[in-house]
Amino acid sequence: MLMTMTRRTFRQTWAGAALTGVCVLLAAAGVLAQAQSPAPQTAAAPVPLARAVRFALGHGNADEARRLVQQSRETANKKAVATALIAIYEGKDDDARRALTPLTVGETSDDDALVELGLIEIRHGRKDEGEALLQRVISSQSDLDTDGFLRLARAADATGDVNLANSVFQRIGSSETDRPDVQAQWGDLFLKTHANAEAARSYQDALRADENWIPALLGNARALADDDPDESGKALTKTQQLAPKSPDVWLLVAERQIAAQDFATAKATLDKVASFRAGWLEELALRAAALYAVGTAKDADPILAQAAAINPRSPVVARAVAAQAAQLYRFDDAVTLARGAVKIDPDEAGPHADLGSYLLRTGDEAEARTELEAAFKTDPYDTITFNLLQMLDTLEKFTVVKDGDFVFKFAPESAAVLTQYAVPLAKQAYAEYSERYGFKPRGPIYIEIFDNHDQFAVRTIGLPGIAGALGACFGRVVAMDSPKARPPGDFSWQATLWHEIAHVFTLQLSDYKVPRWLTEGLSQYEEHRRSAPWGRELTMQYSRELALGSQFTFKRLSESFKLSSRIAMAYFEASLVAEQLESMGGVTALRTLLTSYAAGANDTEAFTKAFGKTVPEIEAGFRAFVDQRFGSLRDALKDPAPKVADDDVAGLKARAEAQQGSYIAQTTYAAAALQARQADEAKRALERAAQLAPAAGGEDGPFALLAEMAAEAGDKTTARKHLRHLLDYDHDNLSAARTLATLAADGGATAELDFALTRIADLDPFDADAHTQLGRRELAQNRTERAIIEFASALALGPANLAEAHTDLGEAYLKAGRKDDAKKEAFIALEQAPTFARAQDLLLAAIGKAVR
Amino acid sequence: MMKRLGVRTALALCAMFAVHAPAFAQSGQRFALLVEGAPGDQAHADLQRRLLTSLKARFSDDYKLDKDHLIVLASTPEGGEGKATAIDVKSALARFTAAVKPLDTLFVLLLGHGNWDGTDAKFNLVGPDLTAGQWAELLGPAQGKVVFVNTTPASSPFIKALAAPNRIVITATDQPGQKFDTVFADAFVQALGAPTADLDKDSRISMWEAFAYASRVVRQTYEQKGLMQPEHAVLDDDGDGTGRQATGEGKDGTLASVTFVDAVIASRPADPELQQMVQKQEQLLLQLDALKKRKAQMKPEEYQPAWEALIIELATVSRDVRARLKDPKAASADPTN
Repeated sequence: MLMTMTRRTFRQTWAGAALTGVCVLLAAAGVLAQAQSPAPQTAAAPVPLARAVRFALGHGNADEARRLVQQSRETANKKAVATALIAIYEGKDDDARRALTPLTVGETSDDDALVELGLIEIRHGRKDEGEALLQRVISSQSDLDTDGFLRLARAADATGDVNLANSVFQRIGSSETDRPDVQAQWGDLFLKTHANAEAARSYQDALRADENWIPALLGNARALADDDPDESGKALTKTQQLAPKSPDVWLLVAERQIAAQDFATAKATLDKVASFRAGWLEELALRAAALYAVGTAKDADPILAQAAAINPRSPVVARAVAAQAAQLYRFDDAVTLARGAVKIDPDEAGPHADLGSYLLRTGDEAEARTELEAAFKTDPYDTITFNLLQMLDTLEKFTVVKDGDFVFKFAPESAAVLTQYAVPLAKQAYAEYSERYGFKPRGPIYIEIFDNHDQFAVRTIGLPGIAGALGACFGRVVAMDSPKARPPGDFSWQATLWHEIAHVFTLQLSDYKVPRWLTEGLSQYEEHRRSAPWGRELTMQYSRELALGSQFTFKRLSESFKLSSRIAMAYFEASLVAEQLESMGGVTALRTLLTSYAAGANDTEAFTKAFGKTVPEIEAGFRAFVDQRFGSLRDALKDPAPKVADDDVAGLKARAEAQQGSYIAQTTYAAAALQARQADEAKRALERAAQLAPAAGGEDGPFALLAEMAAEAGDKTTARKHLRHLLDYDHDNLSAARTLATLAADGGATAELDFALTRIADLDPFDADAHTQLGRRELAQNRTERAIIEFASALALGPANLAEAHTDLGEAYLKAGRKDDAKKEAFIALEQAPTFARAQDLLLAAIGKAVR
Repeated sequence: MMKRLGVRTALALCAMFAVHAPAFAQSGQRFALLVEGAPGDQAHADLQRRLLTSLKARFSDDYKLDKDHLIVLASTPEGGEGKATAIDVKSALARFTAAVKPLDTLFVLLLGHGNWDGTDAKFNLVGPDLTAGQWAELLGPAQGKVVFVNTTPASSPFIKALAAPNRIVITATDQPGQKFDTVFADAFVQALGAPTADLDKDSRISMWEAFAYASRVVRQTYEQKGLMQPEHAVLDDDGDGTGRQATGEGKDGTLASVTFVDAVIASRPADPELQQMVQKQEQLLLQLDALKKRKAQMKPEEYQPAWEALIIELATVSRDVRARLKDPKAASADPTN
């Protein structure tokens, strides 16, 4: 089972921890007596200065914090701690250390000072010193109030005891519902331990206590980044309005800008962060990542040196640069940089986990396992590490097929069939792309085909899910769903393989610098070049969007790839752009475009070099291309006027007659006529619709309906004609292919039968019957090698009748002149069925005793 | 359909002189009761009628059951059929069980709906239903072999209720709670006429072969629709009331493998030369059988050549038989034999 760290499992994990070791730890710490709720504090109780300052800082208001210190009548020590908190907030750790150090000496040391100084020491690489201070907090607590528990939790967390920290939060979290700092820090602990859903819940608890609590808003923005990007974005925007001077806010803004590859703006944002809090490793990390992104690994070196001077034991900056490299698909760089991060702190789990996942993307699964296991030892809460290790366990059982530049990995149950189909297809793609793009990519190229979609998802992102994704390419590694991973007819796995191998070429040729929209567009376009209906599944939807007034720009296209609601259409449109680009300058221009990116050109430079045109000129050209290609379909898909109710058959008929060029007018009338049992009327309207939109697929489309009507009327020839047309566009419509095969077999229409059987076997290579039938057709046409492949596939799948299947294969061998193989198959068949006449004849023919 | 016509021809041609090795294959008379229960709605009525018509043709035309030995009860009876009521079922079984002798075989095949109320499983008839226990009671007096096939939802309790020595019970489901329409009925009807179902290619389809083939069709049907398979057919033929699936583990299957609906045609050819050939075929099969039994005691390098020699000889003789059948004047096709 894959691990999805749900709220329930995570709570249980924690609960288990609390029941086993943590109570003991707390007892040892002398705080078990505090097991009840902390002492209630009345509304009138004065708020301690440190807490008041923290609250001001929690609203991003350092000035207010300073005012509170100035106006406070607390002791000098308390004021020193409060001042240190402000210094820490502003990145002035040296000042804070000077203020706190005296307060940590002797028996009357200040607990806040101990914690803050301990954290400063750790932040600067003096781990032993820092932990010694924090241990004093952990071991000497008694009579704790909420602030005391909070200190204990922070100290425990910083010393690596997340179980103890969580146990403390469990004690105070439920009672201190009005303390946003408690709830938000609990959320931080969850976030750190990869439990984003739990974290989000805690942040929401914090926001219920104080809707403007900046750490909670920021935490929420992070926790929801993947699952609810809209909400995440809203939370971040709110922090910018509430706390425009908060370095933490701008840090996250910069992080998002880098993720969006807006490196120039990110640099300005990071300057803003530095103006509020200088010398903070997190800021340096993003700065180094941005520098790497627009340059090379060397460009980040000065920042790495700067970070080492602040904290020689922190891998934060190295990890950020490595992550950026991975983000940009430069996995070899990512591996090198992550190795650096591991070297800086071999005891920390994160760098090992990073390195493991990057190694996986380079295909080095053996070393990846070593690193992931090292990570898991230290951090057993990391869902992704756990899942990747599970996935590697599965992958180890896969059948490995090496062929030329490829290393294929198939699930054992599927290997026999997929080897027959996937290997030749991949080799064909390789040969085709090598010629088109004029280069051979660096290998070996790993192709891993998963029978289980979640295993593919984990191979790709470390987590199950990613609905809609069929394949992924990391440059040298391709992972994808096998036809078994989804219901038969859900997709064409061959198109997916063809698509992903195109990425291998375009990514490598551009040195991984090709924009996403372009590499996807090229892959999708290459699909279409291989087989006309591949990659063009959304023709109708796209034309409908055009009818609704959609306008193309490169900017819009690029942004569409970031929107889940638009991404499918973005792939389609990008493939049209790729087609248009090739029509402008041929494949040579495409090569120039990609190599220009490799040389460091930006979009404008690359396009100008490849096509001699500016981006706006190309945009205008594309719009003309779309008009020419889709203009008539677009017009047919415009909303007809007037609007007519679905059940107003007469009204719909009148509209359909008046607007014979409207697909919608025809299909709406056809639907109503069918409902009213006016089959002839429906048929006429559907025929007009079919003419207007030859690409209209689907079970409810005009071709499918016309085929059904024809079949019902006994006109099987017409039914076959419509189905054949339907499959020219709706290429993965397995049920249409099966129906066509049945009709063609009954009608003796061998060409259509061959077409349908081939399509069935392509879409569902695990259909043993289709292989058998196809093999017999191939044999009838003397294509013995193809027949052998089909019969061997049928046998590998466990045919309905073993004796027949072995005889089929033997007959193909015999025809191919492989008498010994034929004899072997005949013997196997006769072992099953000694009186089987066909097998007997085969045997006699194979041993030269055939009838003369 | 072409496929079905092809099957009939093949069966007719080959069955003439096919040698049925197992000496314990059934002989005696055959009786069949086909019941198409209450359909519920028109769509089910149409489907059930199609299956019943096909079955009826299979039993009367292909298997050539005596008219008196075939009773068909339908929800909407057509010519010669009775009504699928409890009374008619009781009457039919009373007649057949009295007539079935130890070497005879009684086939009972149910099409339609069934249900399970937590205690009893029932087959839905027109009017009052009969529970699995009542079916068991009705079949009790039969002295011969009984093949009982219940293709309906919620049929699994029939396995336990009807299990007995010399009895083959097949149900479409292995769980009483499986209450959805089954694919098994259609698949089993197909199986009885599918050449591919004939695993040992002896031109006869045993109950085991039909069961295995139908089970496969059911699995494929769900796989091709991308659906979870809710129904798993089971077969019991050792009388212990625990069935097995076609691809699963289990002790059952032996009796079903040697039980056929069609009859053994034991007539001998008049052509003396052909008679000799057929005798030779029979001898070779017996020798093969004997060799197989000794396999465990033999070294592979001894067994394999001996087996190959016999199988080649059998192939040669069988080819000559076929040639002779096609052209009674033809001499042996291979003069070396």
